[in-house]
Amino acid sequence: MTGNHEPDTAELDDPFPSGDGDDGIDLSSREYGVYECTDPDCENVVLSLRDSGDHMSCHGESMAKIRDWEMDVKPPELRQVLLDVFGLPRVGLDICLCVIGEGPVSPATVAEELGYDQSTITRYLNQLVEIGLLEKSQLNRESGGFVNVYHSIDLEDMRRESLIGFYVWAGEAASLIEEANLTKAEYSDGAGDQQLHDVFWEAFEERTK
Amino acid sequence: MVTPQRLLAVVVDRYDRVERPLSAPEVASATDADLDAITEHLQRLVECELLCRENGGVRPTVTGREFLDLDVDPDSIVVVEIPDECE
Repeated sequence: MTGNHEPDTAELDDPFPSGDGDDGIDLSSREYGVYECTDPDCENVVLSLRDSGDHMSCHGESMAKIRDWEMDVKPPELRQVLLDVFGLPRVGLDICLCVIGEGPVSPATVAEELGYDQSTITRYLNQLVEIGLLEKSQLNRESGGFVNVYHSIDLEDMRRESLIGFYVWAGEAASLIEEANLTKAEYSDGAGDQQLHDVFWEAFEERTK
Repeated sequence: MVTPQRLLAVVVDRYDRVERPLSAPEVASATDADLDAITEHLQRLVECELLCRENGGVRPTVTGREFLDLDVDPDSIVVVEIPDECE
């Protein structure tokens, strides 16, 4: 058993770097699909969880699957994105992965397995309840009082909720990217004497309120 | 392989029929499972106060019965926190 501790920032670094910015991705081998509208004036790009072949369409035009992508920018760390999307702390994710499918376990057992303090486990269990990934039920204790049981919401519901939640987050991020790509002329419409960067950050803050 | 949750259900069912605490070999025999694995699962269920030790065997607690009523998916996440542990 490792010593109990609070996780520090260094431990939260992503151990799975998603690239140094020079790599391309062969999208044809991915289980998901990224499609773009074949209408050059449309510029719509969509993500499909599954490969939809040639059946995707946009305003009556066919959509073409993007087969490969050269990354000119460093992509975000995948783990960090997931943590950010759900507000899910690393410890919370560790707890989920540690106990899923293991049946009833005590916080003490989880703490020992993960090398965290027991109070840390309890705190993050409650955070997972706040996020909506776990439910907390109180059962009667034989010797009096109550026992807390933290358990998953329905797994299918969890899958659907988390996937839609991620898509909503990704949609918001995509909209912000679109915002940043507006031309100066488009920004200037109605912006008076404001500087371009001021207009952008105002719009950014408005959107992220 | 019998899961701890399934094991709890077996203990409840068998205890209600024989009305006495069950030994680990008895439970292992009822589930046709490895005694070491059963012993480990029973210990964990006792730690979670879903079972309690009595007269050399185990019996279900009120908490254990209420837990089964929750009908939690055995493949899901289940952590049982008893008050002493969080204080």
